[in-house]
Amino acid sequence: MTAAGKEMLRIRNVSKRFELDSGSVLALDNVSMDVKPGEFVSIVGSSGCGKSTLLRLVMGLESCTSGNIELGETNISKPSAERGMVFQESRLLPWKTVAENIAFGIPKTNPKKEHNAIVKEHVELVDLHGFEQALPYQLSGGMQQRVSIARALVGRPNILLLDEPFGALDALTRIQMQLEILRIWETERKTMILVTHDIDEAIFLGDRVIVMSARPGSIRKVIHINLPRPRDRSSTEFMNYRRDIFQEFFGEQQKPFVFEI
Amino acid sequence: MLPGLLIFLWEYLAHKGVIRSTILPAPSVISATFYDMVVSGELWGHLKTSLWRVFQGFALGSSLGLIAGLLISASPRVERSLLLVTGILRPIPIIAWVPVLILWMGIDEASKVTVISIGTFWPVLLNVIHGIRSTDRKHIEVATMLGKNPSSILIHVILPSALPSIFTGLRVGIGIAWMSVIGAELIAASQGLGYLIAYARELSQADVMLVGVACIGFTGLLIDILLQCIEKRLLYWNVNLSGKG
Repeated sequence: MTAAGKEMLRIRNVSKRFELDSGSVLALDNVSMDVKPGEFVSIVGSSGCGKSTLLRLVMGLESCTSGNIELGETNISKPSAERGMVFQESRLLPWKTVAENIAFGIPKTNPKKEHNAIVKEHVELVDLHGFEQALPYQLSGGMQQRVSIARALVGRPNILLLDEPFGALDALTRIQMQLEILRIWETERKTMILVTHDIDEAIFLGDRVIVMSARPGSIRKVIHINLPRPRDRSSTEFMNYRRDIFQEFFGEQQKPFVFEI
Repeated sequence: MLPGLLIFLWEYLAHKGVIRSTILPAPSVISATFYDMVVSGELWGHLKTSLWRVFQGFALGSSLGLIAGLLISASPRVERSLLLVTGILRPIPIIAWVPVLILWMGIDEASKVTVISIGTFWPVLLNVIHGIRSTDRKHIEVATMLGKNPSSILIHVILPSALPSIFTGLRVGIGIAWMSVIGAELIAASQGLGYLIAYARELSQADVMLVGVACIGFTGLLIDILLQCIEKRLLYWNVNLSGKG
């Protein structure tokens, strides 16, 4: 891994305002956080809280209205192979096979003759051996998302941004994919930032869970998850974290885990 | 079943003299004429001439349509400046161009090829623009995110995504091209299927005319089938096509 891989991601006082026909909307208000190299950060928030906008800013797909995002010493202003992103929909190109879709993510600075080896390596990584020549419509939703993860990783990014990547999958596939992403995180040691509305998922995967409040989006609370991996979703500690986060969203008057007899 | 029955009835009525043979000859007479014309090579000669004209005109018109479509999609300014011109030119029936083009380009091949290319140009142009416009922005965003340059995005994302629509344009275009060639040949030609029909009319050879008409229909059908085969090969990834074309 290059020296860049050891660099800190700094999000400093970032605000984002969208100008719409009906007026302007403040999507993010003064958000600051640091993400250490190799850290797994989960961001939870209700829909419309600007969590996806934050990821798009980190990716460089949009620019901050104020504040700045730095990776090491460099200011992020446009997309780069340094950072890979997986969206809620797999966004595979339907006319390309699995192998071609993955190869599409390889930066053009990479020598052509290495392409096959890189694709093969990543097909193995996401466990899609034997499906190289399949077309996207022939794959299940979970498999499509695996291809999408492989495509985001072939550029060898140091940071992988996951924008509700399992939101469209069924519950069982989702749990399987969470284990998969955990395995990839443990083998590749990339920095990962996961945006989700699934509190379980956030606790299961993250070193830290960042709870965001909506309209305008801002950080409400940061919770460190001090549990060894793999985490047991039914353990008391896990449940405690869960309750804490639920209370952040629904307040004291509603306690979803307390039943009075 | 039904076509067979109709032909039988037609043959019967023609034999009884209910249908006058100068207006509608019996199927057996038409088939005999068809056979004679195939054997003598006369039909093939006309067909070849027409097909060659269609090929040239179609190639020219569709490539121009493709290029113009790309330019117009690339820049809204080009589109705005051409809006009035295209608005006036597009509704002109292709046949109306024939006399004008004969005046400008003479009576030989050039004017006919031009008529056909005008007929092909419009449907290809409109469908190219539509295809490019309906490219999924999310796919373009992914390509941008992966650091692809504009030409790479065009080749890997926009064109493949527009291909089904472009093919629709080509299919409509070749249909119009085939109609245009006959129209042009009916008005002024010394070879070709259109000429065959026009000349047979002057000689009151109803059977020859009908052979020409049938030949136009069947050739048009074959061209369309051919294009559909190419489409299926090229758009193997298109789920909507995997059923019936």
